[in-house]
Amino acid sequence: MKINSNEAQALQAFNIQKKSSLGSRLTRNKAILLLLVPGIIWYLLFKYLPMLFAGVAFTDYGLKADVHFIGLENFQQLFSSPGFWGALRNTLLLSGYNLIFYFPLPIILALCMNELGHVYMKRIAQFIVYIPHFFSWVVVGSVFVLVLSPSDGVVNHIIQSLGGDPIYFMAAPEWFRKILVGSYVWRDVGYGTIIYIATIATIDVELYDAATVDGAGHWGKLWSITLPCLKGTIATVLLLTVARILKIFEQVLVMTNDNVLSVSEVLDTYAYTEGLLNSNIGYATAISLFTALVSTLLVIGCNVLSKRFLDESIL
Amino acid sequence: MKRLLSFVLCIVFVLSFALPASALQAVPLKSISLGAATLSLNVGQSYTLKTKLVPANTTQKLLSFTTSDKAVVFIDGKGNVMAVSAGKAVITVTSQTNKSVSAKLNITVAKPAPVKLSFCLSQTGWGGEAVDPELMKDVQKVIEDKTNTELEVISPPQSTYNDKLNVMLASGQIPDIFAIRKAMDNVQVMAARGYTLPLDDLIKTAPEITSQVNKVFLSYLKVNGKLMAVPMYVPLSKVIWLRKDAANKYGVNLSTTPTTDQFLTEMSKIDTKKYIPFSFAKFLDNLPFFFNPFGAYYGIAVNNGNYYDGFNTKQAKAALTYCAQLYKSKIWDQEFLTNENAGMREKLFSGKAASALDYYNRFIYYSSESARVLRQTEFLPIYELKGPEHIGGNLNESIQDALAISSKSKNPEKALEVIKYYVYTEDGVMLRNMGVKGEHYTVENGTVQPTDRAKNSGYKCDINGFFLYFPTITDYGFKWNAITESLLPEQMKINKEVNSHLGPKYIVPGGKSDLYDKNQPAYAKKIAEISSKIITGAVSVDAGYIEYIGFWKSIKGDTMLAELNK
Amino acid sequence: MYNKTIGRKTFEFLNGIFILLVSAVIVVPLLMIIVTSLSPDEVIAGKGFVLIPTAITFSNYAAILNSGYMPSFYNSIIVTVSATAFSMAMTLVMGYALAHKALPGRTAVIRFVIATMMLDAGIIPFYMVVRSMGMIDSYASLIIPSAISTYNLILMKNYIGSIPDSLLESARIDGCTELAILWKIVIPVSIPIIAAVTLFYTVAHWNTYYQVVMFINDSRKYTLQVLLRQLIFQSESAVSSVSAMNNFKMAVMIMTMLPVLILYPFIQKYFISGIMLGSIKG
Repeated sequence: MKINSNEAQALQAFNIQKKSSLGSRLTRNKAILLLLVPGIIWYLLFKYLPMLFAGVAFTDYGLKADVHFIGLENFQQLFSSPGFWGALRNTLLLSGYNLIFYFPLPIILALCMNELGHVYMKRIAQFIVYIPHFFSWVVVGSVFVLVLSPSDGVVNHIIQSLGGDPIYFMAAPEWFRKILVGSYVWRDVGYGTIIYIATIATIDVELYDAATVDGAGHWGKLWSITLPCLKGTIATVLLLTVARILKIFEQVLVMTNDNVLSVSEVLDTYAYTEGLLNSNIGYATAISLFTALVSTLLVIGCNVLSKRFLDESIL
Repeated sequence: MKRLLSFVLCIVFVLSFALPASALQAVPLKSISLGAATLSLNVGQSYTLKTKLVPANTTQKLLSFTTSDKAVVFIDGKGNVMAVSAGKAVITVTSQTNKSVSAKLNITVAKPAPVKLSFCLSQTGWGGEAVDPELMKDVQKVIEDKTNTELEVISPPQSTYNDKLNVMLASGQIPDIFAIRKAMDNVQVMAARGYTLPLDDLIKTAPEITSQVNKVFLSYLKVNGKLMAVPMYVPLSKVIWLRKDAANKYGVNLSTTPTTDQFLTEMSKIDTKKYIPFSFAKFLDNLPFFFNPFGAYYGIAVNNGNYYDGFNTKQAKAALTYCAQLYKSKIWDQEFLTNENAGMREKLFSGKAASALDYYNRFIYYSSESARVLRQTEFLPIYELKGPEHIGGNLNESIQDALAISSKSKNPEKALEVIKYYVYTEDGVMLRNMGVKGEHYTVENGTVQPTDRAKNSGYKCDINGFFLYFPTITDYGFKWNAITESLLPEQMKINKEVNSHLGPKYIVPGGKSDLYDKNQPAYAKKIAEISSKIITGAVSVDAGYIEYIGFWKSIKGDTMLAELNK
Repeated sequence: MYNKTIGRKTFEFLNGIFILLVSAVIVVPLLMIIVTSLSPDEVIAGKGFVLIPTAITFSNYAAILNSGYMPSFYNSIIVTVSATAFSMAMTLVMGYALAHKALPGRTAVIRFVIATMMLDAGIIPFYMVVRSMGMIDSYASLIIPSAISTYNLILMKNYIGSIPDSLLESARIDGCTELAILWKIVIPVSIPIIAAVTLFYTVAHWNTYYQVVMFINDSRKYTLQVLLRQLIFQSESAVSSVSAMNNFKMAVMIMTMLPVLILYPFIQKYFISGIMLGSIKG
């Protein structure tokens, strides 16, 4: 069964547009370009202007009373510092786990909720999963500390009743990443789900009706209508997730402790300690520049994959 | 007759020396000139009258000075004028010999425009820590009135204070007055980066400060011999607080200065299912309490002017071994790594923990909090532990908060005046700890009470702060609640006693070693991480130190020390 | 749908169980927070949390409402409403413009926008820019510099891009201006995504804490988030002798999120499987 998806329609419209006269295209584009102006100015002012400051990565800004140009010294220090490599490894690992465990879950949840029979159940479930997103990391952190406490946490009570020894999860390096991923999923799964729910909400009901007439079952409709319609959103969310995946900060800052430092230190917390708390701003900027480089590579890679497997290119 | 004559001659002789020659041939004063007929002064300004006598060689030089309004202008017997408050007054200078010769000077005293200053101090620094912005403004207004300033108060929340201050400093916007946290370490950094103004000259005009602060403590805030900040509190230190009910129940018998062995054996009597014998917050920079008994130092230490790594010594290893032993025998809080300060305190006063490490001035706090949650008991201080060689010392945090003046301040004199008032006068200290009477607190039947508005805004209304602030207040003008009053004598005793148990505290100068300046946070993080892993038994002492030595090499630790020792 | 197969029924049952489990994992800690916030001090002392209430008191909530809560609550409302409105305007206009596939230089602009997600100059230069525009200590600093979230912008752009061009084309032939098309056609058919993005922006602006502390100096202009964090965290300070226990802290948490939580159901109804597109096309 061939689906007359929105994309196909868009393509059609595009073809019509191509045929229209050049003059009318230019005037219309002018009007649209005009609409872009405020946004572009905003990006230049608040995103690109601060980036001029990145030049301080080549200075000892913040460390001394006067600023000196020190060439690549900050980068040399960066690459020779075990703290940095540890942070890079942790960031990549944590991002990878988040991608594997966090990314697909909202899609599954959105689809499952969509299959719920009653509208009210749907609404209540949607409402509940989104609530944790209202909590700041500070709260999520303290909730997890208490739930996982070896002496009075719920989880350890269960472990003990099953005959196991209590585990001090928050202080165990082998558990800490799992906890970070788990708490991330707990807090933000509803946030991800909303995007898919909003997309599913717009799928043309006529498509489903047509499929029913064609004799498609629930699974058939899921595979041939819902998922293809979500494809574009999935690709976009994937790319956007990857673009900011290295930005793990507040969560780690509130949940870490000295025992798990070797697995919890990430690039952003490392840059924060060096830059904001020790005022070694040149060095911290060097860290940020490197993080940006890694992010860019990841995004380009992700775009290539997405083009290949999902037939969608965002960039 | 001859005798009489010689006597008279003698007197004449003597008199001729005693009186100026001109006195003998009187030159009368014709007029007095004061230079100008009017003068304007600002409140607080002084002025010396420029009296000119005509003729200049007059013999009638004695003058008297009077003012028409003492409340506006004060004048002393030598012609020194002091502008007291805004208004107008006439100064009259009259010859004492000839009352008809006089001169007048009309003085207009203006209140000068208030000086604008920015003042960055965390929200907890304003009147008993009330968070209600209106209450904070009330405190600010009093300071402004007393010092004739217009303050731009920047009062970020305690937990984000350093972020805010550092962002402002790094972007070149230095507040005229700003508080430095962990001052002993950070003042070095701030001074090396040129943010602070040397106060050595200014402070000569402020005897209130130099007379109240011990020279030694001021020296902690010196960078390259120059004073860069003044302390906000007396030096702070921590002791162990032991619940008396728990101690009695299990027969824990500890003096105020037990040995490390005694502490271990006595505390192990406590049933770990009923109590956490010793609670500790997650901040490992509290470890010196256990390092001191072993003669170890948690950080870069100084010995005869020679800097060395106190963490990499056999004494430090012994201390960590001891702590690990406490942890393993479940005396040490098994969950200390997730303990915040507030959580640790709650454990102690609620009777979940039998003891904890906290500030020495918290006797009244713990006693009354334990009563509030219906777990009342008395608290016994353990000032320090004595090690195998019978040395010790408590956790000396020394100067925690200090106030500095911006190196770019346009009016450092006024900035110092604000500091002087708010930190070093009785009125200021009263304001800082209690807020404004009527707004923050009221006095009923002689007993102090917080207002409802203040009480709900996290306002303390307690005596705790007064133990830490500078002018010791003996008469508050009201009584504390009954619990506080009854516990006060004991707390005073502890406050006094703790001074003889201070542990060591060393300063590492900033700006001397680039390597140190850069690696200081990494170093602090690493020693905390290694300590934590050793204490919890995640690694053995040896394995921990192998990792540590690897780290030390990676930050070129030896070169760093050499730079410091240069 | 009365002829459900057994397979289908089993699936619906298992699906129901799955959703129930997910909800339970979220609800149990939530319940813990609520019960804790309602417990008196002597119950909570030393325990941290309680799941089953033994005594109930509203004193924590009463205390919070009397702590200077209302002025900062109004501040929060002002900031959130104006910031969300501004954010939505910027995002819709830019998203609409970027959705035009025929626009010259479109790919370049999209890359220019996405690049900002990776590059991050940090708070210090951002502060300098905001300060040089004279926004420090005014609400403009909380509304303008954080107006666009690239994430939301791209979602919006993609969604609008999936609207059939034929719809827009007919409006153009009728002589509508671009803004009119955005207003009359694009917005009505994009209600679900607009609802989602509005929710994201509202929650983000409501929860802003760090920027408020950074850009606002006058404590009278502080928002609810700052006031409540102060209430919670001052007991952490070394010298403070206030003991904020978990019941108080949790009450504070609930008071912080309640206003936006109440908003959620009103937005939620726009997510329900819509006939939006169909109705317009039909």
